[in-house]
Amino acid sequence: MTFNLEALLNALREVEFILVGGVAAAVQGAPIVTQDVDILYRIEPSNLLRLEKALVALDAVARDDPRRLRFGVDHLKTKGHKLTSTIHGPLDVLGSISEEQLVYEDLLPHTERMSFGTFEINVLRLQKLIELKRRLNRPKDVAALPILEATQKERDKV
Amino acid sequence: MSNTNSRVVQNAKSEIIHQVVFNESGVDLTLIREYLKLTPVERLRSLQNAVRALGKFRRIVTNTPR
Repeated sequence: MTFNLEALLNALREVEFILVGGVAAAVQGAPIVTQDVDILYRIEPSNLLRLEKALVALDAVARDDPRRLRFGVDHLKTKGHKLTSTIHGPLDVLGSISEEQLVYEDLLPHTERMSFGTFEINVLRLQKLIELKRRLNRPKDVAALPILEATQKERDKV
Repeated sequence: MSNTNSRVVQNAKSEIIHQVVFNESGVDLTLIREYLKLTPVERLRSLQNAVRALGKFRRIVTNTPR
């Protein structure tokens, strides 16, 4: 496996999703290092088929599971988290996030369409990411907050 | 503002200003400012390179006999 974020995101270009988590923060300027890509996908029949196809192309299998289980449409239509390993690195495929089980449609108004050269993706705005991490209040999220908040402040100055 | 949290720099108009380097939480603001100068794709590549470098370092450490 080679860690290739561009190739990983490019493979998902036909899928409706929002980039969330650490990579979303990093592309908005937060100097953090994270190893997995988190996406919140739209639970809608045709999108689930596109996502399933993209996951096959990425050879995505359940992470840390010797059975190499794959996620099909039946799994993907649930709101749970599907943690996968792909040929380009770890990919967390999320049907919902946070305790309120927020789905794609809930967070789409809080995204920014960002261009990455050959493809564009919806990225959850840093301010919303901070808000969600504050609400989650888990130690790992709280630990990341000072950097994310400082980044937001610096962005506001630009 | 303590000296460790700020530095004296010249701005574009050659005025001497105090620039905050670390914020009250100890976050290095210079790093954030550098990242904000990059485009999203450059930030993505920077993250990718950092993770790859860490992976390489980890492999070297793992393969080094103790």
